[in-house]
Amino acid sequence: MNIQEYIASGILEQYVLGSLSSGEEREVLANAAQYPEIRAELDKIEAALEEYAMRSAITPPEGLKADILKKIDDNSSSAPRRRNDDTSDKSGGGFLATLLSWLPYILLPLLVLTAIWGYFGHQGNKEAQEARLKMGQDLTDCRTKSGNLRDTINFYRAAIRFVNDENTRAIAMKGNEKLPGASTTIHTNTAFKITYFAVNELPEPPEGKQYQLWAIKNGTPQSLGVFDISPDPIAVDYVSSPDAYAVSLEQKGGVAVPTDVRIVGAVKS
Amino acid sequence: MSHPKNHITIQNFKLLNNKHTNTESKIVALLKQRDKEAIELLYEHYSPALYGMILKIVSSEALAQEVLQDVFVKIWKNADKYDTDKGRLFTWLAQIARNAAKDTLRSSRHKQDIKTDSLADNVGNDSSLSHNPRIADSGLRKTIDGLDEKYREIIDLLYFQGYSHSEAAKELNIPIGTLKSRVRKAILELRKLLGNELITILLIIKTITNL
Repeated sequence: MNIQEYIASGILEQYVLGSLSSGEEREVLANAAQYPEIRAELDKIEAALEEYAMRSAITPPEGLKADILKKIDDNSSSAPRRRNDDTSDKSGGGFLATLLSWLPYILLPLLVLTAIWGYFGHQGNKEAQEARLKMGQDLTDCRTKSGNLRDTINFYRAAIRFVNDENTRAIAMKGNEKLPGASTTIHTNTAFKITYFAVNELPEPPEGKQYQLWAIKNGTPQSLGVFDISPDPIAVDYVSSPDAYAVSLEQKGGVAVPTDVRIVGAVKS
Repeated sequence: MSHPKNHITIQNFKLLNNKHTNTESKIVALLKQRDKEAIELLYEHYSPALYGMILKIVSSEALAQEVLQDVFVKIWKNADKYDTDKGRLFTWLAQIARNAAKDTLRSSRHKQDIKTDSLADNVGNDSSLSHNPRIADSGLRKTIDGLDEKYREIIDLLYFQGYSHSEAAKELNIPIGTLKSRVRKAILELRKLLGNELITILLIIKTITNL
């Protein structure tokens, strides 16, 4: 089988989108089990669509979770137990467990209501209205904040995926005898064709000088630009399979060919 | 000079990533043990994504809430049918959600045909539906919005609205072969887009870890 052709046919996308017959699905799974390349491609399609769905997420209204848990409780109590050794849900313990698991849902609104009641009891009607308005705003703020938090988590997950992607490589670059202790890193992803450059340890260049980054391929250096020291990584042009990366110290603005190389990192294949 | 030390290493990310993978495998393990904590975790992690998806198909909040409930009951009932070899957990969840939403839409259309008044209108006017759906943060949406309209349309039809390939080909009035290659192109574009954005994310993380 020609794996590249198979992948390009779009059948894996069809599989993830759920529009194959069960026979075709079995075939895709068999192929994925046999060829790691197919499995990897499948994973990437799934991950991309999952990320897409996460980014189009809409928070369901509050209270729905409790409804769902209740439905599932009703459902399980009528269904036959699967295993005899599972005692966690037997009547007495089950009831107590259910009661305990529901306690927060019952107590929390009660507490909130009591607090509101107590509060408004001491306020005039107008003040109460103002307070209610403010509480509404606070609630909105809270919702926004928790939404932002979730988005931040999604951001992290995406970053983790990138750095941990099988096609992402870190190339450690070390200072030579002219710059001992200096350290920079290249992160490059061959599938996404993305490279970024990070400074770990680097002294400020002397007056009138600037550092310049290079990719060296077949003995020819290609400039990736001059840079100033910053704690943030710098996105640089992607170069496919270079032999090494290097940093040289040059006159401000950079040069066409490196004259004073200070840091080198070889790309091991 | 006082340049802050950076502490980002692949190892750090690997640890974090394992933690994330562990959440998914933990949910799967709990599901298989018929532990209800699985549903709580599933709800926390995936309900907004699933709800967003269902809402796109049924376009009524009241119906979407019903469907979401059904979906979780189905997940609970069919937990033993999920197999990690078949793919990621979310792919399975999304499939259940899409199918349930499509079924509901079909039967609600059927009811609508019998009754003369439109179901959507009734639902739309229901005052109990004061809940305001909060779309994901605009920054995140922007990435998706960066996707070419013709690709977004195709992913929306197939992934979010649950069209089959043949239904989508008919809707877009293109041959099924063309559709298949366009779907592949669309998802490749999406992958590229998400990949490019990761640079920005790495910048953010790097800054955070330097604090």
